[in-house]
Amino acid sequence: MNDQPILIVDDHRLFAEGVRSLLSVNGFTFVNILSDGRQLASLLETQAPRLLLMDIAMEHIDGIELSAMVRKQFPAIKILIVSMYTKRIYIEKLLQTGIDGYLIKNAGDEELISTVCTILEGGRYFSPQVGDILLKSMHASSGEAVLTPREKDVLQLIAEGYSTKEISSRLFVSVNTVETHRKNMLLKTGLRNVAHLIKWAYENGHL
Amino acid sequence: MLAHRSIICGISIILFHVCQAQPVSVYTDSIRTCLQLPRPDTGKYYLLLRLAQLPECPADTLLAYGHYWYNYTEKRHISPGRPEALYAIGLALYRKGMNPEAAERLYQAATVWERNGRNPLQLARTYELIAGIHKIMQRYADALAYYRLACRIKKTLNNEAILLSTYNGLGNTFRLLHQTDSAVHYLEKAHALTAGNELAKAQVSNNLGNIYWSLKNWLAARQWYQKALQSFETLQQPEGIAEACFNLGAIATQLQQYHAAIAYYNKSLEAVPTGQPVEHLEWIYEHLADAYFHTGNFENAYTNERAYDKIKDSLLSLQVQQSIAALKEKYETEKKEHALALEKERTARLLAANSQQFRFLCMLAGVALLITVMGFIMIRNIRRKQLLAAALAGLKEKEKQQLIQEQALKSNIAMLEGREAERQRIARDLHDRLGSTLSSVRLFMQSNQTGTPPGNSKIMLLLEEAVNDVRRISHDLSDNVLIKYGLEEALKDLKDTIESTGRLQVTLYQQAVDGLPADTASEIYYIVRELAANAVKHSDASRLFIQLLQDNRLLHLTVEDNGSGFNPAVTHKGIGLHNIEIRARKIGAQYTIDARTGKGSCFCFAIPLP
Repeated sequence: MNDQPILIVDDHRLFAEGVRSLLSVNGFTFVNILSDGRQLASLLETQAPRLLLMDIAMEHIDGIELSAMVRKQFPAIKILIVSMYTKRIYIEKLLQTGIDGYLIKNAGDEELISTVCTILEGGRYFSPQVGDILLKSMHASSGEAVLTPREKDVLQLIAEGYSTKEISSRLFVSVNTVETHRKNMLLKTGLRNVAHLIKWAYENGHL
Repeated sequence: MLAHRSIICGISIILFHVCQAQPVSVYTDSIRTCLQLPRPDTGKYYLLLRLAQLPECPADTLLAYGHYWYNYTEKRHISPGRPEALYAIGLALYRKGMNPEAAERLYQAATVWERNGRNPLQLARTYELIAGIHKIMQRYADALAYYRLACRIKKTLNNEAILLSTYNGLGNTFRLLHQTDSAVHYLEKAHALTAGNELAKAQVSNNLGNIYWSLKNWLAARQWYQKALQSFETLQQPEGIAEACFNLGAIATQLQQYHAAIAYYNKSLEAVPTGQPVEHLEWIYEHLADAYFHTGNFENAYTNERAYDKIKDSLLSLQVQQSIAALKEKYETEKKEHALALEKERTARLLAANSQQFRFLCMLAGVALLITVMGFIMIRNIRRKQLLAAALAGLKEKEKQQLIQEQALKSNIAMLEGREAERQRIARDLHDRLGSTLSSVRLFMQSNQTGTPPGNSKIMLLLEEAVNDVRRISHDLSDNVLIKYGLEEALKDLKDTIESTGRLQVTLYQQAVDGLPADTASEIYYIVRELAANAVKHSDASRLFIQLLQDNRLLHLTVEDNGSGFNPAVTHKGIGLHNIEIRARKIGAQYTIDARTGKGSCFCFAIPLP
């Protein structure tokens, strides 16, 4: 198992060397390093590593593009991303391409080794932080309309029967601003008119 | 600035008189019909006399009816009716601006009522009119005395509503005496009584606005002017609307809310009916030009500056006319004062009449002399104006060009400053966070604790920290996401970044926008980032709302927080707000700032889509 070839793609040489020595200490002997991601495609024509260990932010081409390329042209190669980034968008994009693992760069030795083993055995592994971020983003994108305090102020006064002009002078804002809030509420909720809006707001506890 | 204001106030007083005299009521029509009858209907005299005292009745009608009723009471010996008639005549004369004559009749009426004590309400009204005349003649102490007399009587009548005019009069007199505390006190009392009387509400609100203006309390002034505007709009009174809008525009200028100012000034121009005094428009154009200039709309600024120049030129000759008018007025005032003095010293009437004749002759000679002098000045002015006009035009143009160049330079500098600030932030973060962590690692390595297990774990901890630092610093550089995945993702990423500081919960609501140019997207992104940074740094906000909604070809961006807010009039335009202004201008966005101390802030942008 430990004789399977691994390729580290990282423009940060010191980090790559560190990982290589860590892997060799744990019995992984066929480990190569590639520091320029642009040469990956041509390299994979001649070499066939079982696992790619890759960073996201690299100087000339990023790990997300490289992952997509590898998935498409060399679907048999497994991909483990090892990155500092915890940006949701990167994680989402990488998952879409179908990577096998994602480790945050401050992971400990044992976590790295066990992840590499898991993936080589056909499993997948993601740092707990990655899972948290994905969960949070799923929660946040529920897309339910929420009213801002200013919008609530305006809606409250509309519901009490005040005209736009009256509202503007009560809230010390311009008529234009009141109109913007009103329009935004309709656009957000997709409701047709203010009457529907008031009904919706009452029913959903916004007023 | 204050000089402009006093002019406007002066005009507004004239305007109010003008609009009060507009015949709009059916009462007026019926009174007129009655007056045209071959023999007026004597049975209705008294009723019609009271009707004629309504503000919308023309003064001449009231005067005619006052005289009819007076003759009638004389003929029939109806003594209680006589002061009524005198009061009506006095009121009519007052409305016609014949103040000394009016005062004479009012004193007569007051004397009768004082003696018999039969009609305290009418007596109070008479005192108020006399006070009003004193006020016009700038004898404020006398005015106050009479208003107080009226106030004392009215208070005994157990009807608070009738005190409205008294309080208003007292407030205005104190205002003219620059005793603003007392003025505000009485005007607010008056305002509390204006329910159902829209015109009074408008005038009192306007007066309160004027006071707060003179105190430079812009927010309070704005509040009252807005109330006045609302009332004028209900009344559909163009002069009032124009004036209130102008005042609101001037305040918006003071608060540096130039877009709002432009809207108000334009509204004011729209409201001014044709044929109004041009000097009113002159100031609007000048202020409008100024506001457009501040928003960077130089084309409109220039157009309005031109309009201002045009009127100002015509005013040069107008000024001469005005100074003649002013002299005439002075003469009139003196004459009137003299007449009033006569009335007061009724015992010395004969002697006074003689001196009046003598003084009148002196005045006539004086006026003739003045007119000659003014004519001379007028001719000199015209010659000087012709010479100056050409030189001025050249200078103005040059000045404009220079200003435009300066403005462009300024915005470039601001952009650079923004970039520089970002660079400095990164440098500072690297130094403060990563630098110090790495230094501690080095120190630790130098010490002889390396190699031992506790020493190694300490180094591990420090290095871990360093890695985290780097991640945090690079996290702030979200620009890559914007370039690669567009605005929607960049805003989501920004939300994540802000929330990772643990200080602010961000509610992001955005709709997919089609056809958004890359430039616009990046400006929107940086605007949001700047505002979010402000919210984190300065406002103690716990929630931030970011909304990007599309309405036809307009994109509405709203950034709202629940923090401590700020007072836009006080807060110095830091680099942040300045950058926002420049970015908004770059993408043609109109924006408003709704910020109040303690009530959070809300920025609304309307961004045109191609």
